[in-house]
Amino acid sequence: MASSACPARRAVAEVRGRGAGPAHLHSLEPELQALREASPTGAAALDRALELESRRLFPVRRELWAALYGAVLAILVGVGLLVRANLDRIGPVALLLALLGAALACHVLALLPRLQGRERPIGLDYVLLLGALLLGAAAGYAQLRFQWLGTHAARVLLLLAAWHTLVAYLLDSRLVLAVALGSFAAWLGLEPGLPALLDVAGGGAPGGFRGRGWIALGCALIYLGAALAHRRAPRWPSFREVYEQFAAHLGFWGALALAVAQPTRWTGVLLLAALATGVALVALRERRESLLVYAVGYATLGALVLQAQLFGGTGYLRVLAILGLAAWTLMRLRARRGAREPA
Amino acid sequence: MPLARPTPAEERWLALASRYPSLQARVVAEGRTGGWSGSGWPSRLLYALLGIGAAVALHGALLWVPATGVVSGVLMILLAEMLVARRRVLRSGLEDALHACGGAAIVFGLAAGGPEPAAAALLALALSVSGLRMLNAAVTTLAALVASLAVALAMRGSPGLGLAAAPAAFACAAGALLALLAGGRRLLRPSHDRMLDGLVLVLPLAAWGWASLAASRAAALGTEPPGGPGTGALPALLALALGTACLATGLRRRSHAALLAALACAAGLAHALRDVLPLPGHLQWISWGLLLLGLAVMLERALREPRRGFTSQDVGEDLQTLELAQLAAANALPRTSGAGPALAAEPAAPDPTSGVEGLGGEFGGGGASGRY
Repeated sequence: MASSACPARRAVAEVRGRGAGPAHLHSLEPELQALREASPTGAAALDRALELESRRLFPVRRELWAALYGAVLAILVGVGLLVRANLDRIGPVALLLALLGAALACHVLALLPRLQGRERPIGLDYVLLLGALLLGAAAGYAQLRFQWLGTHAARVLLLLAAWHTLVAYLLDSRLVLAVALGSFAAWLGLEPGLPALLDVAGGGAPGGFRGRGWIALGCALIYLGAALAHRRAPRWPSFREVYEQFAAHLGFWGALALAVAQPTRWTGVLLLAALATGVALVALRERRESLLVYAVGYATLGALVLQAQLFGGTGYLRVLAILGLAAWTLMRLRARRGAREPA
Repeated sequence: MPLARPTPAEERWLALASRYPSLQARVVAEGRTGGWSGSGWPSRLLYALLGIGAAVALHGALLWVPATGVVSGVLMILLAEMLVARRRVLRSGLEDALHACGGAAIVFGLAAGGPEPAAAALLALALSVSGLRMLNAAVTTLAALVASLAVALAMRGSPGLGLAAAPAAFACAAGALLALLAGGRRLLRPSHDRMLDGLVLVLPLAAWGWASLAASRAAALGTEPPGGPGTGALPALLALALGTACLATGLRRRSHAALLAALACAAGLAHALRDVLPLPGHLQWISWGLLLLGLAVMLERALREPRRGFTSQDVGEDLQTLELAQLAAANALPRTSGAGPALAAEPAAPDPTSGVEGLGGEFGGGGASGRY
């Protein structure tokens, strides 16, 4: 077969035959040029893409995010070790003052761009996050040492949630808002992640599932209300998504926790089905892939839990049928959504 | 059955649409993707989980058949190929997981009871073939890691001894350097670029991990002090050498994978130096963290205006998934840094007047468990 007749070889020749070709190795410049020749519209987007492909412009935001996150994590680990190891040598008051001072410094640094009328850079976003977490460390440590809230230790979480929320809105920080929402959920006794909520490691107290399930659903409702309120709050456009993400996860966790407890099994199953349907509809309407995945994923998990409870044993064929149905549903929904993002 | 997969040209158009969502509609209108499409990250992850679960269930359902591994593996691969041909979705996650699990099932079916190094080598080979066939960088990277395990198993002398970590570390380091070198070639398929990126990103960390295992074993046996010359210094030396190579390559070629690998090597170097530096552990953590934070903030400030092309500004890339990951990561950070365990261990007595009291969990703020 002549090489020109084979589509693959023709494609290879097409790409190789562009002379010197792109100066950089991972470049899609030839395709961008072809797109430009085909249609001159959208020149700005094409120009920016060409700059990026030719590496004349190379954004380092991913690297900065990784470095900033690693830095905050390292500092918090160090502070944790400091609190535990050097308590006697430093003294509780000095340690508390140091933590509060550092937290205050972080907050002030993050506030400076706002006072100067500038946009806060991502570096200071993480400095603010560090300040919020150092404040949490100070508050937790103060309760531990001085019992400043008496026997109501967990109210530290509520106070922190309130403070973080205030800071998040004042300084327009999604990261601190996420910390605030997590603090509030923790105050309600909701540990992070589904395994903790279902008490997988501990074997589970049957009544505990129900209790936490309802609490998680209540918390999800609060966050959903906040998300709906933010539809009309143009000042914090990015906050709505944070509330929605928390509401979706907590809602699904709550329904699953109810489904695990025998007395509320069918209530949980119905709630889970209703939630999955609702979230999928929102995902389809707003073309939100993450919500679509949550809906199918959590519904599948619920179906697996239900089949294990009803039939017991391994039931490989039933599991296979459930997983196959889930994959088929996701394919259909994605096709209906019309958003089959090219790879 | 002919194997369906996009031509290099079709794959490049798919990659273009994926990299620049604002151009997706125009790429689709051009019609050069050959009817192929792809999945976003969230769907890909769920599909992969469903695929792995389905593979396990299929294997379990066929346990009554003789040579279960081979039969179920072949069925998984056939199913994956059929789905690829029908759906024409590149790297959807589902087909890739089924294909890789199929290869693994065949290897385990054939190599059951045989020597472990051979089984690991065969598994690495099967995963490589699967990754190359499905153009999936995650699978080829996993294959490289399994290959390093095969080296560690093969070089240990006798089956009773522990893994030969040092040779595995050198193998990973060599693999990382080869991937860096190979990245200098012009490859037609973006997926092949991604495969090399995966190796560049993961193998230096794997080399450091194996070297750390060798060093800790040497220290435990008392043959060498921690961080001493020889095996003890291996983690630091490998992290330094590979980190330097990755940084230089990343800056020269402007490669995200190499730069991120350099960052990971820097973290590995800091960890490897913990026994050498004359500072207590907490001060080391805080110092490294402050140094990194300061550098990142300064770099971010310095690159607000592009310098030689490098910029810290948002230039319209599609980073939505990364932003979601940031939110999740922010919630995963330790909240009370050391004070939490006591709070969690001594929960407040329930207050009948105040409704539900939390138990000092770590999900949000002050009552964290202090886990790192």
